[in-house]
Amino acid sequence: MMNKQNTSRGPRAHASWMAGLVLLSFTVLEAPLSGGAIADDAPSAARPSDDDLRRSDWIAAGRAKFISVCAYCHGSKGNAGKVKSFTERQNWDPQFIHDTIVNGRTRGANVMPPWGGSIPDDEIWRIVAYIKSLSLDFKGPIEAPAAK
Amino acid sequence: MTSPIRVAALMALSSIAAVAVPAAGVAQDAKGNWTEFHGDYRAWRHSPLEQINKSNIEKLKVAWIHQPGDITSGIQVTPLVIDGIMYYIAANNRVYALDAATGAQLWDYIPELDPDHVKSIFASYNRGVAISEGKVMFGTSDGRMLALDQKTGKEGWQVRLTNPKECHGCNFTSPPTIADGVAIIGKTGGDLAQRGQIYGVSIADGKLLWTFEVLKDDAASWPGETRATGGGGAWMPGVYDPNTKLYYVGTSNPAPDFRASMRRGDNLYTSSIVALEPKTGKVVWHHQEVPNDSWDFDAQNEIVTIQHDGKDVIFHLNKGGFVTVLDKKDGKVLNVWKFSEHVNWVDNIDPKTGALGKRHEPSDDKKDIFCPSALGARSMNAGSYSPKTKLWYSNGFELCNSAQTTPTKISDLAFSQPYFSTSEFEFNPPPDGKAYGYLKAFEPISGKMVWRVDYKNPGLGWVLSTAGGLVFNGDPEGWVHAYDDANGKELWKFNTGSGIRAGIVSYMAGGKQYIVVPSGFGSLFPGFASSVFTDFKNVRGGAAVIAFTVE
Repeated sequence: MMNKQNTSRGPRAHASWMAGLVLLSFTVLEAPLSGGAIADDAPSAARPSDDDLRRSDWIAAGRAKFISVCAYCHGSKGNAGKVKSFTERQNWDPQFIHDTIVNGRTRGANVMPPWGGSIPDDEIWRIVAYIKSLSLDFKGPIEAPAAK
Repeated sequence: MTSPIRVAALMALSSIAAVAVPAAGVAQDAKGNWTEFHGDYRAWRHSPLEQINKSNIEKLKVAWIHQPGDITSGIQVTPLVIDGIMYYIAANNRVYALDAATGAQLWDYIPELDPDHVKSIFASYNRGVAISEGKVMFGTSDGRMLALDQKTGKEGWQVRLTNPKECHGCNFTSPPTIADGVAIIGKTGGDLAQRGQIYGVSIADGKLLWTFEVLKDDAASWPGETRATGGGGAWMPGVYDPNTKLYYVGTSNPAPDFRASMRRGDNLYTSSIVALEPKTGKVVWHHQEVPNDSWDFDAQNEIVTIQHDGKDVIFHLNKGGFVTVLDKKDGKVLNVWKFSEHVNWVDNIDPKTGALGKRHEPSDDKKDIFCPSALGARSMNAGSYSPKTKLWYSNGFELCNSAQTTPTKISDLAFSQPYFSTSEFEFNPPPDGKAYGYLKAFEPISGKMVWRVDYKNPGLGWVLSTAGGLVFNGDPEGWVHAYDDANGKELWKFNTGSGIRAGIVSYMAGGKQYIVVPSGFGSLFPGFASSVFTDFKNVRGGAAVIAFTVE
């Protein structure tokens, strides 16, 4: 029997509550901490360079994945969902976007599944590249370097 | 009302009067209980109570509020009330029993769910419990059905019916339906690369009695390997008619949702109404509303029974924007009428047979616009039928989506990823103007509209009508409105503080009539549609059960 009954709240529930608080702090601190990695338990794959995240081939690959996985909720340009439109974002930290995709948002009125372990990390970074390309302050794509 | 149905209901009531727990099919009884998800087996969501009525509605005030303390995805429940006790389920399958006169908590049940359940896109929310034989039963976000002791909330049996880890997160979000000693429940997953099923579980001991494969084992219906990942399921409750002794349910869409070209065939029994034997799960009849569905047009909505020309008929709204009227005996089509104002996925549906006319499908070649959208003519929030006015009151909205399809490899799907097979997808206003919502009163057989109230945003809560001449409807801004059932004139409104996505019901407790409104926005719909209905971005979440009465 995996269930506890009645009023008991197990340790796991407490852990979830703590995680909720951590997530809340992300939201509050998001703008001022731009550029800082603030995930608690996200995989520590190396963050690509800012130039990589502007590569046109990354953006195209990320868009294809975004349309098939994310667009139903977020709209094809990130203007749906229950969050500020992706097209209105400035100084949006790529690490924060990455970690939100990995960890999801599992508490609160509007939730998103965690995609970590389900979408390969290199593909998540390509989704990040596409999301960054929608931002108000996007500086434009960089042509992909010739294959090595 | 002296129809055979009413007489049968009264007879059933008298036969169980000595038993503490009422059986199915007698919800709208003189005691003022609300014993089933849709009120009773007719799915009227109508209360025969009239203590609260047009003459005193102005005095309707809050009596008590109960908060479950977890607002994940808001609150979607239709509470049940039996002999002065309210039972409801909130986020993450928390279950509560309350004194229905005061809101005082009698017991609660807080489950520990498999942590991985949050990976499902259908995680956390739940629409209700079912009660029979002294047990409070519900399906869980992690794929089980549980029974609690009705008096104490203590855990009784539990049975694992599906494993979300093996089906892209398919789980349970709606209550079982009680049918002659069997608790019947369908799983989510019309949009997932899995094979949908409906389960019959023994109420006595929790044993799985049968499994109904929503995807028929028929190569003509499911070419090649398409059946293995063809979606289906039945994510909303059906109804059990104690007169016909059959269980009726609307099934989910096939997957991939928008690319019908790779599964040519009827794709039975998706997007259909099926009548099943509750003891065996065998199909007695079926009517498929959308063969080879290419638009995500589930048949999940309420199956309403009324008397017409001396016989029982069913009427049912499909997401595609048409209401089908069927003979309850054999599923023969009696009429089909257009509910939505913008329809372009099909040019016509034959009102005599239900056959689709010329289809307009998403394709791999170009992006195109389709109306209604995959969110349907209306969301799952059922309407209400009043035997007093003989009108059916239903929310609805006008919204379209654009789509282009592309082949998808199953092995490329992420765990929680719906199997849509789209290369382009977004929601759009109708091509000729703005998106909008409404509450309309219809004559349900002919489809004649008698009155309408227009809204800027779609109403996503379940409607209640009462013998007091009132129609209650909640909106996304948090207002609950009471309208005159004859003409739609607003008589009362109250702001509950968060949007309404749940079932409004009425009951008697301590000699007084109450109206109860669960308030708290969440669910998937508002996020999906917020690119068009932009106010959805600003609606706060929450979860509270608010009871009203007249002092």
